[in-house]
Amino acid sequence: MYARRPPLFLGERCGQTVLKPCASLARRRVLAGTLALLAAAAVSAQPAAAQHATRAGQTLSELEAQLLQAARASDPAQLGAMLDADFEMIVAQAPTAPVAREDWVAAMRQRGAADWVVQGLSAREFGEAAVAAFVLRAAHGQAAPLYVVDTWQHSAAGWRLVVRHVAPATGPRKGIPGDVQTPAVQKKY
Amino acid sequence: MKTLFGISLLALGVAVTGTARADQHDENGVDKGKIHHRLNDGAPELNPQAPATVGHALTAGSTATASRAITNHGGPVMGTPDVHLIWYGNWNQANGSDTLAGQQIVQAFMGSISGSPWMKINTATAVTGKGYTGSGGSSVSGNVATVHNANFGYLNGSKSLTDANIATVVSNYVATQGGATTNAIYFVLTSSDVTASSGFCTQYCGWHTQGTVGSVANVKYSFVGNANRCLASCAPQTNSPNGNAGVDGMVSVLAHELVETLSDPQLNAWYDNQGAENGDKCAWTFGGAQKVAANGSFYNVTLGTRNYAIQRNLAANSKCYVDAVTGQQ
Repeated sequence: MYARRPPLFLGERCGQTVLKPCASLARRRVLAGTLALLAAAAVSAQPAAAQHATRAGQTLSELEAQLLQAARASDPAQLGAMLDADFEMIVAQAPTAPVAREDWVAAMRQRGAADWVVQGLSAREFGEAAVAAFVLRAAHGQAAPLYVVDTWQHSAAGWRLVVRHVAPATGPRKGIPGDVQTPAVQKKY
Repeated sequence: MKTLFGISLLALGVAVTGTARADQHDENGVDKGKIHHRLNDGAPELNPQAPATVGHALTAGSTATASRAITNHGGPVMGTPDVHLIWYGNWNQANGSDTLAGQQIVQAFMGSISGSPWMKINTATAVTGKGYTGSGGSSVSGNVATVHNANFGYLNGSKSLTDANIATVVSNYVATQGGATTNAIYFVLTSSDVTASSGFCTQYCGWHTQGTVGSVANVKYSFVGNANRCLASCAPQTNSPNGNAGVDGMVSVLAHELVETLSDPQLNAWYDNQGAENGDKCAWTFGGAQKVAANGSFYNVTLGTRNYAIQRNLAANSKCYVDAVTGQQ
């Protein structure tokens, strides 16, 4: 679902450290470029992450998928366009020291920062705001899953992520005030 | 080398075309390049002074073959089931949704769905090519045998139902019917003062399952909540063809659960490699031939004298349709 970015094509330049004729190099460039584009097409053809049983959930799933996609593109403008001007991320381990918008954008552009998969999303809508809560699981590797609560706000400019609350989703389920485990039947939506 | 060069250019064209398609829409035809501007962006924005066609149509959806094919995993399907509508809660309220007229919207739908071009999506037609078949020679007929109705009231006065409560509602109901049968689907339809505590409105709008009820195994039952509790989540539009957005929303979810129960009654038949059933793969898409009702709402299916906004359904050929006779997608 979250394939890696296609490999970069490092083309050679005619007249520099080249031992072959430029015409041959041009063909090689087209071939290599084609392969790179095929790889890109394969990535793009991956199914979208956005499928949810509720309409609001589907919209929020799409927004979360777009956010990860923007981070994978490593484009600060694209990523920033999805964030509220006052966006911040609050991590459970340091609730009084939020991560600022610019720092978050820079960090999310790092390699692998967006290699996560959204699972178990629940959606609630409150007028012009909506809250998505979900688990982020690593697409590759052994990183521990995270529980995320995102608050989105709608304006004339579209949906913007206002605040993200994150906590590790590990450890036993015990000691949570008010927690009651209710048996659920196996069902399909 | 020339041949390779030519193939490369051809592949380049294919790649670019494929990239463009894949970038623009996901499997449900949702434009991935745009941010949806409202959670209820399918709702018409009406101007009473303007022609009825002003407003945003519901999401049409893609006409392409779904990216992950739906396949049979070895289980049976249902042929021509009986349907039981179990009305839970108070369906005689003055809120404009949980009313006798609201019940009639659902009853009229279920009473006329049998053999309709929408139900035939589940069967082999000239358009679909093949239908849903399962183990034991079973096949979905596209028909419903009989439709039963019963008002249940509340289970111990409860307005918040667990999954187990819903099973109990079905169990108590079938006890009044001489027991459950395996060729029936029992739908628990709740009034809008009732929720289901396992995630109604936030995780789902309805669900289906099967289990042992009384002493009968493989009893198929389903929950469908009144979308009036959460129109942004469980209704396609806030203004609806029958003037009851909550119940009109329920009808689409009911249709979704009906076809999923037919093609995957024991949760071991038709679904894709991620578990999505036929209804899931076309959820919240309504096709490209929507019409505008007198009240400005959108509809895509007419059954008898009523219009409905019913989500498309996936045929066994992995394409979403509104009508398996005309091929309208």
